[in-house]
Amino acid sequence: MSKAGLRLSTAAMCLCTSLFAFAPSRAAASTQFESSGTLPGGGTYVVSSDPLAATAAIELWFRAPSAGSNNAYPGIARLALAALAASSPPHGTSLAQLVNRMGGSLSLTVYPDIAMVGVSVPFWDATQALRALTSAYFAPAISSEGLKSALRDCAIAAAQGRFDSDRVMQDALFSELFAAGPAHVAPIPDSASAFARIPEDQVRAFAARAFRQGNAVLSIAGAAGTQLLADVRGAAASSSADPPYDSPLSNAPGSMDRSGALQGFGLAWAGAPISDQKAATALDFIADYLFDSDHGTFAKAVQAARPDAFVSGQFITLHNPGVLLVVVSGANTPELRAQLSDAVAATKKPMDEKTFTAARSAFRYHLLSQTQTPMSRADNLGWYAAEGNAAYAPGAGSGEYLNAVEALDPGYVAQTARTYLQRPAAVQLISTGQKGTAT
Amino acid sequence: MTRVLSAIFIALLLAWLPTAGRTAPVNVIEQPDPAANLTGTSLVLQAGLDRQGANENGLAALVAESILRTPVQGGESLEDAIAAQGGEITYAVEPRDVRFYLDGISSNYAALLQLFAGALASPDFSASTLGSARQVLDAKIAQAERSPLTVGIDMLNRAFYPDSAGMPRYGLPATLAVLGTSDAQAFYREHYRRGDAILSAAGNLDTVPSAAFSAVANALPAGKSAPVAVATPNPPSNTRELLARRDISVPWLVAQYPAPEVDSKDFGAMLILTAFMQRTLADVSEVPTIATRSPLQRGVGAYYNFDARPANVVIYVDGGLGDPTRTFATALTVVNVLGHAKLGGNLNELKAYAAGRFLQDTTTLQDRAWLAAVAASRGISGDFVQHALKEINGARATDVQRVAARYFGSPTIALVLPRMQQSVQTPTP
Repeated sequence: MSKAGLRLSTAAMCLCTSLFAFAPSRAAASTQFESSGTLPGGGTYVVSSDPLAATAAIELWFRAPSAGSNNAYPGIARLALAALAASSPPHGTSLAQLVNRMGGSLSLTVYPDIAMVGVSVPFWDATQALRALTSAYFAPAISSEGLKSALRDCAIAAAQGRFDSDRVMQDALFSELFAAGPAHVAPIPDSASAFARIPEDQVRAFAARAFRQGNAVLSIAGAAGTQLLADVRGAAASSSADPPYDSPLSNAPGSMDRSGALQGFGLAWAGAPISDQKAATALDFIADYLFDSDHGTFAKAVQAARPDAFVSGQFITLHNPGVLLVVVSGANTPELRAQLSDAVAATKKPMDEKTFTAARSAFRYHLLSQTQTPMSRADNLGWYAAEGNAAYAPGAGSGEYLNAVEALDPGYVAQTARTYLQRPAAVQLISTGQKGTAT
Repeated sequence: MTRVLSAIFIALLLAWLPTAGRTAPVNVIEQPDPAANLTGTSLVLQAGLDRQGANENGLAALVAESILRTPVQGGESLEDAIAAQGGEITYAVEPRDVRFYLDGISSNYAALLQLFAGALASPDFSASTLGSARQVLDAKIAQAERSPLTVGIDMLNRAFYPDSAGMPRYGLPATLAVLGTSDAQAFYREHYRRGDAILSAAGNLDTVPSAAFSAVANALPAGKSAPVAVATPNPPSNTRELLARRDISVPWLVAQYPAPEVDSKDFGAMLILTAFMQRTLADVSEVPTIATRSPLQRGVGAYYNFDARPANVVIYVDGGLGDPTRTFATALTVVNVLGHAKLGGNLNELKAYAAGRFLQDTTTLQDRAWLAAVAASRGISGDFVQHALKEINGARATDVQRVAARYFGSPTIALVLPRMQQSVQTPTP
């Protein structure tokens, strides 16, 4: 055990010992509060504090094209994120090792236009985790060992991705829907060699540029307050945030066939931008009503008819445009495709009042249910801030999202469907016979 | 001044800790969280698998599923009516109990409780409702058959429990097919009782009238569920190695050990050991990843069913990562060394890891409501999360060593093999 490990352990257990002493003070501040602003060294923060939570979620979100400038290096954002998490400072512990010792979890997530690194840790470790997280990313220093580990990690992610039929179809749909830009390229390439081809100096340059403090949104939720911000370890003042990385749409989105572990099919439509809250909310409502894996009417109908098939769909709220997407894994028949087409067509006519009221209540509940944990709240707050509309985040204290839900009516939902659900990109997945997951 | 502060301290402590019961005699536990947007209630009834008779395999699930499908409003099922009003109701059939969980938007929660109480008071066990419940259960059984981990656990539970508690969670299609209205009515009448029910609520309770929670339990008949004496035949031999073949691509190894109960002095040490096993298995078998894998992504795992009676630990290894028996044998060797050699170094790092892992599983209202119900069922007062952390913190190296030696000696192992697999050598620890 290293000396650093011993120090950490001792500190953690001291805090563990004092948990009972903390309980009353946590009770004293039993209301959640939210705060946002600009960090002293640049970048923004949003803190959603819940004194009754036992864990703290701390995330850094960056506007960063997943394949770098001009899509030159597919996978570079994922590689750089992983390399920094695995790099140990001199005589220190890497972020990944530290979070593991805390019994916490570390997330590395890349989307076409944004990247996120986040941790969820016991509340007594929040300060140490924040220091380690911001040290690692705001003053990026990728070690050789860190880069080696990251290449291994990315190779695993690439291999797993090939067997994830939902992801294969989503990447293909984005590629078909967008003519160029970050959204045209899969955030995680499907081969290890793509990562290996990225020059080391490019990874370091990408990290230094994309992960600078001025380009960051620090999102904190759960058992942590704004006093934690004093522990941000920043570099010298950095430039302001990059503008959002939007991608141009295809003039005429088409269809494509891809091979995959399972058969399946999917559709994607360009939707409203994040700035059009009402339309974006209406599209999110439609996605929930039809395609939510557990409750959606289309998803349930497919599940009843074809237990081997699995439906997932969502409205992905992006800066401009958003994307409504649905994929069916495990089956691909003309009947299922017709069923999907009918379900989408039906949304273009106003629902009857009773069905609409029930669907909206269910939607409201799903939103609140999906933002109840510290990690899910930090995810939403960070994502929406990075996409350019922090106040609109589901679960945000502003309540803008829920207000937009309340403002929906059957006529407006149908009108939004008619406006946006016209010419989808389509993909068919042809099974290669290898075992995959329809989860 | 000190006295005033002490009084405030105590008042605040009482405000935060789970409190028992606005109404006797139903056991109601409340964990108020005024800032939450949702409220959740776990209703635990002594109507699990162990209440099934020898010819009633699947009856516990059939009754629970029928309650969700009971018409409550204009012919709408309870499940749909709750969804339409901003909530969700689910259930889990466990070896010793059945647990309903009702989650919903706080502002409308009283109405959801009322719907639930209505269905509990007058469940519909008509042929049509049973028929649709059977369809759902058949689909769940088929899904479980596709999961090697579930197949393994079902086999192990069959050997682990000496009574009906080891029956499969949803029964079998053939046994469900012959269970009818009178069976469901009799099971409900005998075991859906409020005398041994536990109702645990968490979240924003301010908007819910006091009577609404107890009304749910009071919807049930008075009295307690009577145990059912069923001795299940043991597996054909005394072997501790069970074997099944399924349409899967790689072999899986699933092992089960007895474990200390939640109110045992060994509880904290076993939480530490289980976390240690989880980490050791991952270290032995997996290519290390930087981001933390979700339980679904992990090919190996160890979890402690401390809520079960008797408690147990389950360990699993997915053969997609290589020979599962080799991974398992290596992990067992490590644990055996742990159990029989003096521990060197400091236990604190392991404790911190175990505490952190435990907290990661306590973040939802459902987790909190369930944990409080587990605590109440064993007479543990106060906050169960704090209890678990205290037990982890209090465990000494000698405790961990003793618990490893006592419990991790002789597992029962289930091998789930692809249909065409010829053989896999089981490990000898």
